[in-house]
Amino acid sequence: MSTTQIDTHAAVSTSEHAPDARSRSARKTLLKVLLYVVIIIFLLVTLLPIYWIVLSAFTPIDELFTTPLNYFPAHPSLVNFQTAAQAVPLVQQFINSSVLSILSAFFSVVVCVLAAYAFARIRFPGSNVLFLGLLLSGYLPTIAMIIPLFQLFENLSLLDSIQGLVILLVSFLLPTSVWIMTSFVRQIPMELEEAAQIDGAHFLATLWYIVVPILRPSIATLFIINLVTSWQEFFFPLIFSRSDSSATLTVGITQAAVNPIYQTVAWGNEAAMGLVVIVPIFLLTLIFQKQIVEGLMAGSLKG
Amino acid sequence: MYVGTAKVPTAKVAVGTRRRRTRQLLLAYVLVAPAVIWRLAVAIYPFLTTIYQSFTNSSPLSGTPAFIGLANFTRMFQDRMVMQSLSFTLIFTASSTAIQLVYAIGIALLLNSAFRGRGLVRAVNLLPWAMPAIVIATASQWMFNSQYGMIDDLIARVLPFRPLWLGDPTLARIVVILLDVWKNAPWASIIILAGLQNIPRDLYEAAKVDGASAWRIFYSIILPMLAPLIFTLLIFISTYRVITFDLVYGLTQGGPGNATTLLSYQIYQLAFTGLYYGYGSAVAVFAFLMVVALSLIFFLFMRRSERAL
Amino acid sequence: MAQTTDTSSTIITRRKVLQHAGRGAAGIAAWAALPELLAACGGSSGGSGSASGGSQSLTVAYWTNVTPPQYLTQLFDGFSKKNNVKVNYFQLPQVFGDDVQKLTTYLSSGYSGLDVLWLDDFMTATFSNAGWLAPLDGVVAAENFSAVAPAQLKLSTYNGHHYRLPANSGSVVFFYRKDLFDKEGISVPTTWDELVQAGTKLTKNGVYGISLAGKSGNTQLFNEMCYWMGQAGADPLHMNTAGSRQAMQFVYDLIHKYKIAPPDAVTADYTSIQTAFENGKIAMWITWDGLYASTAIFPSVAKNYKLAVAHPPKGPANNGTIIANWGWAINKYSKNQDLSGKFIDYAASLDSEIVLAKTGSTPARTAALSNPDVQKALIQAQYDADYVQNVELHFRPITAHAQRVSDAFEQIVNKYLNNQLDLESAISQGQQAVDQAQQG
Repeated sequence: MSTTQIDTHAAVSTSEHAPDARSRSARKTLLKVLLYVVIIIFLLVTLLPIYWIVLSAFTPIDELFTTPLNYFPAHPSLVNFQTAAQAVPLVQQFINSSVLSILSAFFSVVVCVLAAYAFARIRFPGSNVLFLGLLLSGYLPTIAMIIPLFQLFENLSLLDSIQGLVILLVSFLLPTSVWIMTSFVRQIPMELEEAAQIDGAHFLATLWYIVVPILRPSIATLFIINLVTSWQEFFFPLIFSRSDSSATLTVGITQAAVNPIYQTVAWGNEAAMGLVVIVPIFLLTLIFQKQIVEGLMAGSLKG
Repeated sequence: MYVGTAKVPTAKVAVGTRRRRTRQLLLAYVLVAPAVIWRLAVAIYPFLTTIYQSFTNSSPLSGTPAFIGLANFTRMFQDRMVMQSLSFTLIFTASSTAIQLVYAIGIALLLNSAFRGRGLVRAVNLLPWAMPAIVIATASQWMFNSQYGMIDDLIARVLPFRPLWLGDPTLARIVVILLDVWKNAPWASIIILAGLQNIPRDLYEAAKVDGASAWRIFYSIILPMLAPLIFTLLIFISTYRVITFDLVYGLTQGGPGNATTLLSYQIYQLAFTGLYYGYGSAVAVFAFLMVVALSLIFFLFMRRSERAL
Repeated sequence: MAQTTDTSSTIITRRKVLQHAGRGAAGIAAWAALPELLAACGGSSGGSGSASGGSQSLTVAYWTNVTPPQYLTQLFDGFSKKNNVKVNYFQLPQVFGDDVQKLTTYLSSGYSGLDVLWLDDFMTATFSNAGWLAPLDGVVAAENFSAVAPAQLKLSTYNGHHYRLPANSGSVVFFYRKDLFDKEGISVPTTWDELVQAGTKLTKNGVYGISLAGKSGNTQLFNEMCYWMGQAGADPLHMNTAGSRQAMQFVYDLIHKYKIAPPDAVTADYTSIQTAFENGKIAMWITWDGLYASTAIFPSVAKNYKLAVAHPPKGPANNGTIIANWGWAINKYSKNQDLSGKFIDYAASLDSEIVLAKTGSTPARTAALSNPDVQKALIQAQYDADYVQNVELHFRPITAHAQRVSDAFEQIVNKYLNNQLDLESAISQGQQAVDQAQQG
């Protein structure tokens, strides 16, 4: 099976023109080395702050801020995690975060695929207004909406509940999701759908059996994006949760950043909680990488 | 079967009867209804409340709110703090958007290449974006600390000084911009990556057979095919920069002074600590109108270039 | 790889529709059952306690950062058993800014689910003037108010009513590292000049004589300047005075002229200063008394240094310092105001304050301060008592618009300390901003 990616950094052809073969292979090696150098630089830039967080999480507080800086903890320990676990109901919050993220991602994707298909494939009066309106509705600074939203949700008895947070988060995810999904649908050539329609297929059937499989990598991507966005949502769970029944791991971060009595932030504990929050996502995206590639191959349009 | 990517002009409803067309219209509304209703139900009340309050002097510390027309808006333009915050917001939006977009395209191209461990690197790429902003903000307070920070520690090993990153207004702004890029580029990068993967394979192959170089392929194939997506991202990234909040809240609290006070943070200060509900709402409405104007300009530009094609 | 379009599967059959509908219904049912599901999965909760009792329940919002909060639970259980009432502990966010934001959101929406609130001076001023607190007179026993030194009630009383019963008092105290002082062989400074001299001797090799909380946006810089201006006979509301100028110039000089304060003082807050102080990078720190207790709870950190307290060095006008209170208040929208009053009576009693002292909270009740159990539990109690005797105590000029004043003031002063404004511009802009902030 041919490769499904192009290697834009390596030399392009493996032509059999012998006289240039050696210089071409030298060039190929050079570009390969360059590629790996770029990868390493990218990893360093991406991971520097993450490394600091990991370092802080495993270093006891009294060894944390020394000069000169220790890049490896002198006595690595789990004490920060233990303190965090004592301060915070981790299991409950993990469940809450998971439920919140999965449901928010799920509903936002389902709803936006339906809408995107309509916007991209059907010309109907008001489509431009609705489309633009959906997007523009996301532009009011969220901070200005907190108090009215609080009042609204209190009146609907949706405070301190995961359902309430899901409803809220989905509504915030919709503007961008609909737009992105619509542009993905527009990217797909219409021939297959037209062929199916000539065969007499119903519009929805075309959506489900033809378009959705092609869209699968885009759906997967959007699902992950919305999942991660929901996972790290901080403000609304903080303000709307009154008790542990709806507190998420991000709320736990503020609870774990505890220093007795004084108004200071225990960075080691906060870092430990930060890792607890991010590790599941990291594992998830590692797993999902394969899904995307497989999805791409299954929906491939060659042939 | 493919016949290239040319869109066949809309005879979408190939065999159309009136009834079919009506059914299709109905279907369209049914399909968009969930999204529209969901969004409307949640957002309409806050929107209306904010807009209404922007015309009043509402504040819990001031007794009964009175209607004052456009007074809040004129006050805003004479308010030094708000204007300074506006100017930084514009600088921030322009620089962060530009850098983020370019960086994200670079990441996407990198992650689209074939190399061992690519899956792992793709997952690592998402870490900055997956880590909650408050943790990054607190981490950065320490990282950029001139005595205990990793950044100055590394710099001091090479150069003879330790910049006061968060104390100097200009440096603090640079830190905020760079952190914003670092944190948000992954989001854009995986969208671009998905777009890259939607480019039909045979286009690449045709180009390779023609002996095109990598740069040529990028310029003549990838960039044009990605153009609509990049443009859409341009709109998103820039508009959401205008209303960025979390990073400033956690890292600098708008400081030093008000050097890094973005508009959303200014609104927060006005509404939550100052309890200027009316005035704060006016600034929020202003930010909203700014973003709407920005995206409409982009939208029109996109429409016109689409027509030109 | 070809995509198969099986035309037979494109037909929507009734069976398929029913299948999908069934799944949808199941989904909705599961959705509705979510709360029970989550509660079953979650099990016990570590962070919030609720003592069981009768059908009536009281929600107390408290800000504490003790892990685990066993003394607080003990307090709540005591009340719960005595009155056969369920007490819900509503834990307020750790970061002060988040705390204010959350309470502001709840109270401004007329939320009735909170009954008793634990508030500081800023919040009391703001919330009472915003009409979100219920007056305590008649609801809380008068004895509680007379058991507290009258001066302590100043920031709990607005428009002639008591809105908060102080149950915690704190003062800003002059801390220094005795080990660093002994190493240099210098004695504790008693005036501003001596402070500069001591600081100059101590500032070397990455160590600085004194630290300043210069970061704006947290009320910490406001506190800092209240202290220095207070010693020059002025305060942030009156920037355009000789005393103010003197104090501001002095603080500026500490950073830029004498260089005994770290150059990044404008970005320093309590967290970063505490770190520097405990790492031996700062020799003197004038800050809230809770620091001592915090180090006592972190013995491994404190083992490396000797923390000592002295009277504040005297400024041009006095050797005073600032004090602050936290205390109990009642949400105006609470439906349990009488019960809340009973709770406050209970929580502010001598016995309760002794229990709370174990969480590091210095009581406000005069009798409690000299109580031997309290002094044993709370190291700072003894020097708080000493300060009450020998040091002039000022209140911060906190008014209804205190938050606005603090924000406006801090931004200007931060710019001045950061060399972006000269003194006269800072004074005039600052005074203007502070005046406007009080207008509403």
